[in-house]
Amino acid sequence: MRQRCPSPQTILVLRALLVRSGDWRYGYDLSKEIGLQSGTLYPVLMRLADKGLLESAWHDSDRPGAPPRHAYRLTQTGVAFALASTDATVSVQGGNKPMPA
Amino acid sequence: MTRRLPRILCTVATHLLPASRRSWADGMIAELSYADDDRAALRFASGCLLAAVRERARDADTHIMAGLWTIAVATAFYAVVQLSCAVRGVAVLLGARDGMRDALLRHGASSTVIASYEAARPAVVGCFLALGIAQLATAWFLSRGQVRPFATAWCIALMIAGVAVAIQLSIIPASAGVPSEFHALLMQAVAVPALLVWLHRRQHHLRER
Repeated sequence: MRQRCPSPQTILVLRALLVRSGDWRYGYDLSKEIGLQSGTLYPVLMRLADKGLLESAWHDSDRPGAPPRHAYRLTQTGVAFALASTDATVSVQGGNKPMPA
Repeated sequence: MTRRLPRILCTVATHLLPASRRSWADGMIAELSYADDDRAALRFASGCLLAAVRERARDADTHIMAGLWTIAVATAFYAVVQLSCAVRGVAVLLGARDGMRDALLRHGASSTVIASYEAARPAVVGCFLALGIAQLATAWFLSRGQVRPFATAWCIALMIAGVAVAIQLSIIPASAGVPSEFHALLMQAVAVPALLVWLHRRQHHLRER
């Protein structure tokens, strides 16, 4: 099946997740950090998880009495995809053409 | 403002999200506790509700059920029409005025045709009644996604409709101005399987996405 180009919102999420790709991130914090509404962020995260690019886990909160949080981070495939996607976006936006070797 | 409204919105979102997204729904509710203030919590919860609506709209099973229900409602409507014809037929058998007989007379039908029509009337009324019941059953099984009982009921309905049309055509050959069930029957015989095939393909396409 043809691989579609990620949307600008997906690129934003991928970039944010790529910054500290080993760290687990949370929905609310990501939403605040990127400036994306949760209504846009969560469908993007779900799509990434469906494609095996994102893994999720439940983490106990360090705040007493607060519920466990659903945490997300890129898988290895996700990191490779994010790198390729964000590079492609930069080269399209910057008008860069691949240099001959 | 308290966190009550955001919690309600997130709970609605939980119910809207497909079952396969259960952990995401729980994750959204948990995140509410970490919102900076009530305003932020409300904004976050509204977004979660929107995300749930979007996910529900994309869900392949939801598409299939909506499609099945649409066909089921159309079939049920058709069944009600057949049953109302049966009720009118029973009224005619009990002595009410027969509009169809009047139409035949207006179109210059011979006394032999009228006599055949009157003789076949109980059978035609029985066909309408059986057809209405069979189609109601078809709609019911379709709405519940029970494919085998649906297929059985649909075949029975089609056979009854075929018998009704055969009786009608044997007495009154289709002509301009004389109502015939034939076109409706043909449309149903083709439209229902065509819609189901289309739905099946769409489901396949959605699952592949």
